Amino acid sequence: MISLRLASAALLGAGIAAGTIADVIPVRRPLLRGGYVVLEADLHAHSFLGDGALWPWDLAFEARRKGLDAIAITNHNQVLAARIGRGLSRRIGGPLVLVGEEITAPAYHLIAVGIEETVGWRGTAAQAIEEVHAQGGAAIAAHPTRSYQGAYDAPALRVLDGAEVAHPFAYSAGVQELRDFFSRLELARARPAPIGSSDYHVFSSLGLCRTYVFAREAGERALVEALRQGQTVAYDLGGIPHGDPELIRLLGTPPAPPADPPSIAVLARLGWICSWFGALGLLLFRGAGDRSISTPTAKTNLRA
Amino acid sequence: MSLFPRLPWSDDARVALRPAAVYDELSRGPARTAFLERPLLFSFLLGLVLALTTAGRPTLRLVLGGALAFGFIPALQIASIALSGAAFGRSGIPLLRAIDLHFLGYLPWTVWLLFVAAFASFTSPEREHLLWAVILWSVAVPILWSRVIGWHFFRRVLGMGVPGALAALLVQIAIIWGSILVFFLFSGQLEPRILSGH
Repeated sequence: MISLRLASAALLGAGIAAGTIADVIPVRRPLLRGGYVVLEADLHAHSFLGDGALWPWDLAFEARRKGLDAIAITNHNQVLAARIGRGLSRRIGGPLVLVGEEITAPAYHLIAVGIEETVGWRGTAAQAIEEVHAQGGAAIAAHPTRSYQGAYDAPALRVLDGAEVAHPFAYSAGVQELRDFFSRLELARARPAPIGSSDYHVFSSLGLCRTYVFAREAGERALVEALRQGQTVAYDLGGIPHGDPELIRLLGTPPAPPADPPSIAVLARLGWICSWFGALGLLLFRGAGDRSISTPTAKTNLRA
Repeated sequence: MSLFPRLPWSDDARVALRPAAVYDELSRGPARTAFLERPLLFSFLLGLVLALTTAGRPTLRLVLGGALAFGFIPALQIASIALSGAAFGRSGIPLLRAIDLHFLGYLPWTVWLLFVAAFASFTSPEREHLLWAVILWSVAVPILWSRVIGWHFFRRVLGMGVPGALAALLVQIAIIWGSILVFFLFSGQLEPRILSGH
């Protein structure tokens, strides 16, 4: 008789085989609108070697699955993982990976993208933004809900490039606080960049909130330049678009994220079910050949 | 388990339900040779859960990547067993055997992780805050359950007295959480968070 453990191991193996075959990532072409390349970007994602769960290269693969043309790897106060991710993503054919950092200070969280070295967190927000600009990067206020807004005084708002208007925080905290901050930023400086970011750490939310960047070409420098010039559109979680009305018009209805073809979706679901039950069976059941002290054979051996 | 007495339940399942008695039996029984099978299986399951919750499918790339990334967790557990066994153990059980028996006690964690994977798969990314609420409320179960199993492991397998078992549990917690705190401290993430209270 086949043992339940062996059957579970076979089920797990079959599930992983099905899941691996279903690991199909569609080839993607960026949108072209009004002479711009429209890059779909998630500019706030964490990876392993920080407090994210995925290796930097897996983050790049998953970004492609989610239909993203660009991501920024923004671990807290470090750029190592982002640099690794950029190097490897270039080898696997994209997406664009911007080297970034979530500058995590007691009073503010600031996304820096397009930088090469870590930026100090002990200064004011304005000082951190100046340092980002000195490296040729762009600075974005991260999840500026009420508790993160205090550090953005007038000097900081004047040089800040953009702010997250769409962020998963808004699902629980409400969208209004992010809208209000962006309105403050629009009053403080001309044409700030509205940003949608997922603040990805784990699970499947990468690309849930995204930014449509209107760049002159599909390259890292062009993307950062477009951010600095406010050439972005983002939809907040209430469905309201933010950004230059002309760019919103050019974008039209945002494209839906890609979905698996039906056959791949079925294979993926089958892989999920087989591997889940296989793993559970492997934990719960003993193999036919396993010796346990509680089996009659083992008890006999012990007495002997 | 008593509802299905004829099923060939694993030692992991038996330890989870009757840790004292089963650890008593197993520590007197014949040793297995596959000492690293259970720590490796635990790493593999961490990778599997990561793949299921990230991509909705168990791709080999994500499973192995996750197993490699989170392999530090069983590695730290092994270090804690080696240290506390050497410092407080009285049974003279070989280290590799102790490691094998220790990882028998991981069923509360592995089943909880599979529960999280299932819940995450039925939760849309828009409702991830709900998933986090479920995780934070339910994680108390594996934490407490595994502490009970760990207590019996130190008492029955490593032959520790009550003070030794208490000290070993504290060493285990200190090594794992201490390592994680040191990582966050040296990567510059801990200090600003402590200062801000976020």
